[in-house]
Amino acid sequence: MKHRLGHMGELHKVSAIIRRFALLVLVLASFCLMLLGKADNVIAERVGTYVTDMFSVLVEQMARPAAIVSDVVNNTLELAHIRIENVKLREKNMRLLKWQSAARKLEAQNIQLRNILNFVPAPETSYITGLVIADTGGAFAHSFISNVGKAHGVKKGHAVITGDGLVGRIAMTGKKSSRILLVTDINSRIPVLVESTRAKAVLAGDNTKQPLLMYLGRNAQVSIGDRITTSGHAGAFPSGLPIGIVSSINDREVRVRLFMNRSRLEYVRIVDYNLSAILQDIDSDKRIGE
Amino acid sequence: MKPTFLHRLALFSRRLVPMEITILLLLISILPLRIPEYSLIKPAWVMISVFYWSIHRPDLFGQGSAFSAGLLLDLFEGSPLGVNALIFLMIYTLVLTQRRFFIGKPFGVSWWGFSMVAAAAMFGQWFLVSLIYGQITPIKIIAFSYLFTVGLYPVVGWICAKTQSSVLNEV
Repeated sequence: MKHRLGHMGELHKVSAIIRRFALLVLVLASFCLMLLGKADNVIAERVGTYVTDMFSVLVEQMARPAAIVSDVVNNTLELAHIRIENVKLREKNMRLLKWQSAARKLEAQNIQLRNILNFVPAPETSYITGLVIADTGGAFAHSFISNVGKAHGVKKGHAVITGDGLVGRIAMTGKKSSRILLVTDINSRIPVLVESTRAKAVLAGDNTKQPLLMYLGRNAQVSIGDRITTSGHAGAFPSGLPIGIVSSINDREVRVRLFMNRSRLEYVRIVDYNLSAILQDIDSDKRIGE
Repeated sequence: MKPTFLHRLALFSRRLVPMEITILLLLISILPLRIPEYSLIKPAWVMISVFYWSIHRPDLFGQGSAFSAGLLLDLFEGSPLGVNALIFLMIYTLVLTQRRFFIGKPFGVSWWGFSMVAAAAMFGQWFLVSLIYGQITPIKIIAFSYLFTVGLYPVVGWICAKTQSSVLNEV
């Protein structure tokens, strides 16, 4: 019996040592992962894409009942204001009809002027509409997962918009899912313009609701209420996509209130402006020239 | 009587319940609920589960489980890889040493314990993330998220406790 107890004690000791060793290995593994994520994003990205792709079908199914619940709540709330909303919409419709006729006139004029100047039109854009199936953001990262991926033509770097304005860009693409990095994420940097003064700046997310306007020129003038749009520099996005308006200015920082409403996002449009196609054309032109 | 294959399979699948609940909470945490401000101060659903199972069933939810739950969360959230994995591992190790203190005590004691552990864990997360990004991430949001998480503990804790008493009694 004593012998047996001694044997058990030894076993217990061995398992405690193994447990401690495993803890050490796992702690080291965590630090290695942190370094790996910092140094080389490709492997981390591939694994992340694989995992989200694997779970995307399941998450999409779970997102549907959640959407129904939030729809019911929103519909009930909207029902109370339906009459006032209707009056507002009629007024808006009248205004928009006037704008429509103005736009038609301008369009016709524009075509004529383009013909005169032999203007080369910008490449055609194509849209892919995706459903937001997961809001993977939190206090440390702001991103969404959409149910469209490589199979639907989505590529890394594509701009993501809604009717309101810019949402972010595609950060990772899996076969059937993609990760959208929001403009509010701490890793997001977008070249922008102050629309009224054409002053260049960079819109930098910092994980808060209102991103910062950085690298504004010293003489650049900004005032509260100025519209901020993409500048099209660095080739990531086309120019002129609406982002938001300047909401606060103080000595240290300028903040921007976004047009997009994060809690209302359901469908997003992923926009391919064919910038890569232009680059390929330039490349092939060069080769022909050589 | 020797247990049949099916019996053993059922037993094995029950042993996975703590990890399954953790993954389920992870999936719930990323549902697009479209509630204003929710996504900014989202509570740490998975952390509650890790804390609960580390106290109540560390035999079914080991170091590996805590580590993989964290890693899975990192991959899903797109937050710096390894941070949640390390933090959850630390929670597990810390809670395991204090386990006897929590077992059999009233619910308020474990709630208080969780509020302490979560504060340390979220501060640790904030510190590591700021270090990795090379810039200080806003701590105010983390504070709100912490309060939300502590407030959610009774709900998630209750779900875990119900599951434990109904499914894991014989395991």
